[in-house]
Amino acid sequence: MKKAGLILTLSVFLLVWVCPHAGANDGPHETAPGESAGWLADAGGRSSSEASNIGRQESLRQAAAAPAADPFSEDYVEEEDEVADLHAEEKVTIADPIEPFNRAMGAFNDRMYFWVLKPVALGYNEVVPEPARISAKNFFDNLGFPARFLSCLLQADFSGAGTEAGRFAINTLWGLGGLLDPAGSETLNLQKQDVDLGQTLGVYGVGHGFYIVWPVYGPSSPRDTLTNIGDQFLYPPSYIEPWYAWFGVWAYEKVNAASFRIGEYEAVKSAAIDPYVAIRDGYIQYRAKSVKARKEKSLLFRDAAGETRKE
Amino acid sequence: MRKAGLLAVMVFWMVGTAVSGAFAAGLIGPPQSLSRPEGGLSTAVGFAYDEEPFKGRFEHVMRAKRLFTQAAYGKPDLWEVCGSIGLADMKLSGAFSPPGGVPAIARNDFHDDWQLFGAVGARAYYPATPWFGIGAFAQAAYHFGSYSDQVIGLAGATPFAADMKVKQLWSLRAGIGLQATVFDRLKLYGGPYLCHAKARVDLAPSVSGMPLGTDADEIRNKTRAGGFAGAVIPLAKGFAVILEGRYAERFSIGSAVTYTY
Repeated sequence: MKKAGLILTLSVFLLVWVCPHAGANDGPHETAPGESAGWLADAGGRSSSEASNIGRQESLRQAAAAPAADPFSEDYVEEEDEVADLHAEEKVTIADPIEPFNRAMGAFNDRMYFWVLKPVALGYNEVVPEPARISAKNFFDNLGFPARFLSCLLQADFSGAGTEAGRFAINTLWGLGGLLDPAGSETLNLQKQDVDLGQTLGVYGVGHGFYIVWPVYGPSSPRDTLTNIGDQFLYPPSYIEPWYAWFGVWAYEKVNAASFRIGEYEAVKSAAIDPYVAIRDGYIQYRAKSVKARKEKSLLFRDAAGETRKE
Repeated sequence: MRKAGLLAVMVFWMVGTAVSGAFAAGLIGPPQSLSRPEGGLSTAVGFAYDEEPFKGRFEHVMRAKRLFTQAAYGKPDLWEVCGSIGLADMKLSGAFSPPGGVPAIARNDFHDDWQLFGAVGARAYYPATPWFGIGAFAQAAYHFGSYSDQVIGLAGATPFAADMKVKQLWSLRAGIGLQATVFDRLKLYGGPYLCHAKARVDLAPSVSGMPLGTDADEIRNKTRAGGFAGAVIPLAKGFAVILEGRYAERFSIGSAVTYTY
């Protein structure tokens, strides 16, 4: 198991170096820890993609709603340019040299979702009340502390690291080992940091490489795959032995997480002309957005006035 | 409503005194629940140091350090149920000391490290005035693990080694508490309690002359009644500190930091 992990890590590492920035218009690049793992990442990616689309539509709507301008005046041209610039700024792409493979994996994951995960998650949803499912989610989130804490430190986001440490201490001690989330309450307001090692590489300018869809794990890239492996090393349940006990915990975690997102994947799929492209775009946009957000929190990218430096 | 509260207090008190109670888990705590006025959850993390005399054929002092976490659900002006889980070590003085000096042993006291224990409890509270109230409580605790230690000595000229186990330690504790709120927020509380605790002691192989364990002995707490007093000091953002002392022939102390959801 460890050998396999090592080989996978090395291959991904090579892939990253062979295709350093292949096609990726890597403005912002990024990875979401739990979200990017699994076909469920589709849901996460899709949500951000939807948000992005809504944003674009909103911009267009605003532009359309603006007072009618003289098409021959200078202002009119500038407005058009602004809309175009806005789109150009948001446009993030990724190379997809292994699209046939990715599409096949996408189809496989689609079947896995509809044939296995969704029925199990629906049954689980029926049997287990929501507070218990939320507690389970809180528990696994709490165990993700080491990866989030280290990522914050590596990104020079010391405030985020402090928040994570505080959350972990409070939720472990007064949240019954992490089952409850008192740190996230209104009074304490220590929110979980959306951070992972993939974002850390993204913050430092490392590109995605190319788009890859893993069976079961879903949308990713060599950079995110590599860092997902790193995140797993920092995730305590990864050390559960024997392997079938680990697999049981892993599967339970995925089913529990899926129970909160039933219907999201279906919505993306039905709304998109080509779900594969929609999910790919959603994934890359989501990662780009989260890396951008992390950069804004990093001390390394701030000027003397405390503002995020523009590159 | 007040009649119902009074009735609940009486019922709890009767149940409490019927079960009597001792070497329980963690703190007794204030009579009034720390949850929000409309009812809710509160959790606590604490440390306690307990000392209590136990009797078998001879008297021994049991000492324990406890680390525990507790969850409680209730309504401040009426009731609360709580459960706690934690780790406790154990020292039993003179457990290896033969009363006649024979056999000769290397050391006198039994000692073992952290074992898991759990406790459940319930309490009722009646606020007589906005700043003063009375309540009753009952708690039960059980130690899941067995404590064990090895005794080495000489029986005549023959060296021996035997394992002593203290297991199935359980306790019941019940009492009444009075509570006063001073300076608007500081809560002081105290009252009498009754307690009963028991454990089984085994020694294998059996060594004649040893004070405990030769015939699957039992030990019980010696003093069945005691008193407690404490304070709840509110901190910021829903946190509070509880400081508490108990006396039942020996002093015990403890402290916990609570969080109200």
